[in-house]
Amino acid sequence: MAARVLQQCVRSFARPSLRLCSNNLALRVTAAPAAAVHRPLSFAADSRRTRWLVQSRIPSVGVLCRQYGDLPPLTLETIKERVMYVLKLYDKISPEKLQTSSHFMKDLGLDSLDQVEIIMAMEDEFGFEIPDAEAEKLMTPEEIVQYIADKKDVYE
Amino acid sequence: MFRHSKLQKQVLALYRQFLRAGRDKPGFVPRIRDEFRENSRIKKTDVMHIEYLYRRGQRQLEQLRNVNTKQLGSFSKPKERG
Repeated sequence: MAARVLQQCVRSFARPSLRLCSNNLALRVTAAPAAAVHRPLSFAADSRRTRWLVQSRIPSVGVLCRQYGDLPPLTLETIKERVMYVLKLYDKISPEKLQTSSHFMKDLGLDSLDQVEIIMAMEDEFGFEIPDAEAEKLMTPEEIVQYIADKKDVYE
Repeated sequence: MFRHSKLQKQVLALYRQFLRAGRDKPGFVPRIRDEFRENSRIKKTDVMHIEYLYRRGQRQLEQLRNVNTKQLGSFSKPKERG
């Protein structure tokens, strides 16, 4: 068993190109003659470990890689689209008049209560809290996009 | 109009707290909105009235946040036909 391990190690170090195919390793094990067995035990232990390491680093179709879940990356474009989408869903805004530079109070005729509701909808959409002091300054969709981009470190 | 006074800021903060507290319990949000919208009509100079409503709102917010409050409903008279 130790001899087989040593053989695999020797062959994998000698022929790095064939390392990628695990089938070849199995074939080589069955067909190869016994190599020199006179090695110290510590080296055998190391080589067994390295053999597993070598084998696990083989990228066979991504089966052995670790996967993490995350949201799609934020860009200025996606932020703007999401902001406009949420604003279009708000019933007091008519979607035709809505633009990125339209002021909530001057152009769209909303009042401060509506603005609070809009900012809360943005908080829900993007998942982070906006403090009151800064929330009352955001009066156009453009400013909202800039603020979110600042907070989320999105630049282009 | 752009610079809110202290009182206006307090009212807006109260509105925000109300909306946050009432989000999970059904039936509160339309009532909150209607109430605030109605009371937004009173003049800015009527400070006594505004402060009274503000204190009342704070007390109602505590009631809303109470764990025992589950939902809000109301009865209304159906419109008479003919």
